[in-house]
Amino acid sequence: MTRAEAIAALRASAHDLVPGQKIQFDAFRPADAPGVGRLFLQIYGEDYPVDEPYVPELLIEANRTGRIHTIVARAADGSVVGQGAMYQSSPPNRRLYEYGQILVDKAYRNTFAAFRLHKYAEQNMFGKIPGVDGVFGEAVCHHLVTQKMSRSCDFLECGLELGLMPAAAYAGEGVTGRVSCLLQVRVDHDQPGDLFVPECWDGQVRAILPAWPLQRKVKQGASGHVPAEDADTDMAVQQFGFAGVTRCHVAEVGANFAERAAQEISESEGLGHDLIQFYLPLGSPSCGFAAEALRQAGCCFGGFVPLWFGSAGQGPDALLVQRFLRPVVLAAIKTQSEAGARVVRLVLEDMERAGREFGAPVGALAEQPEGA
Amino acid sequence: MAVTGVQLKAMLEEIGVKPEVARAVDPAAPLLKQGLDSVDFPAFCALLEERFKVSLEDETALKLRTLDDFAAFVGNAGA
Repeated sequence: MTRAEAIAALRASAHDLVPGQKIQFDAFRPADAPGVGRLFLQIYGEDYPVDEPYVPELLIEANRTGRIHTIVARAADGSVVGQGAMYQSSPPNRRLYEYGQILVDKAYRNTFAAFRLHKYAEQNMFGKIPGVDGVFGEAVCHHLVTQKMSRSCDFLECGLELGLMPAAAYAGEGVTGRVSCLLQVRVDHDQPGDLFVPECWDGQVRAILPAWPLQRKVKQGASGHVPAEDADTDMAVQQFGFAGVTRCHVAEVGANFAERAAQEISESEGLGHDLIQFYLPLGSPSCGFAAEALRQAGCCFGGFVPLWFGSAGQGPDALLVQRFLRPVVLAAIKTQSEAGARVVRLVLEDMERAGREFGAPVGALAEQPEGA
Repeated sequence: MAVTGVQLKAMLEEIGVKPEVARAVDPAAPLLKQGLDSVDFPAFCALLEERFKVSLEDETALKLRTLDDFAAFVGNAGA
């Protein structure tokens, strides 16, 4: 079944759920797949950028193979009134999963279903599923609910994705400006490795690193460590058109890194995107070379992300570096913990520095209405 | 089963409410007007269920607004 056929079938069978039923929280079963699709269609319309939620056989297969671990809130009549998931997404490390997609049917919003789904994940998924070394979340910063729920189960703040999402993604929530997201990572099974910390963002990385008990040999990632002349840059690029974001995963830093980065920045500007992100391999001795090239291109610090590359890279971790492609307005950035506030300060200060030193576009925080 | 306001305030701290907020809670006033939010409230209900081995349906929980209401609910559940 194609995505279009699946959506047509969901539309044909659309119905309102019977409210007020008893709810059971459970792992996904194949019979839940159409209910999950109905939920995504109700909440995102046809625009969710991944096929699995809409196409039952794809969702069933993804759960069977462990690419997605869906949990559901199931009503007494078998309807799916809510769902959440842990799933493989952007990281090259397939053992680092993303946690999110907590959705609740409109008839059950006035219940604790979202909270109970999260508790189910905490008690049955985090740290308990084979093949998962770590889990990360992108907690929106225009409210504190996600940050609060994540922190209570050992997701620790390690970066700030400046202006990651457009305000339109949160229509009805009174958001002005692009919404930033705190990166929070929970590490269950560490993978020891080298960490070549670039000189230019040494202080920021070392400030975040002690949050987890990671086994790392920390070395200086000197900017003068130039890759061999014939070493090519290996960079995978993801375009998120709906969000106006380009994400670049750098597996290998080559001598031509600065040119490749400049090309991606230019192409992203051409696409009308607002933000470009680079995930650099901290296990590479040439990480400092790449970081310095990006710093001179007006990029700023974004975060230290443990396990992002895992065994798919030269070392387990990534350095997130980012740059706006034009001046943007940022929604207010709220933080729940002191550690989160510290990460936000590190990133905002460095964004301002990039603006001053290199004339890079910066994000201006939207004025908050009184009492917000 | 009798439960005291002190016990319930300690449980608010357990779910992550700041100590100064938890200690200042007026047991007769709505919790959601005293610094608790939409995460704290269900977390408190879940802890209450676990601690006192009671079943608290969402529909019932949403009618309990104050610490006094919760104390009475636990008392009645154990009656």
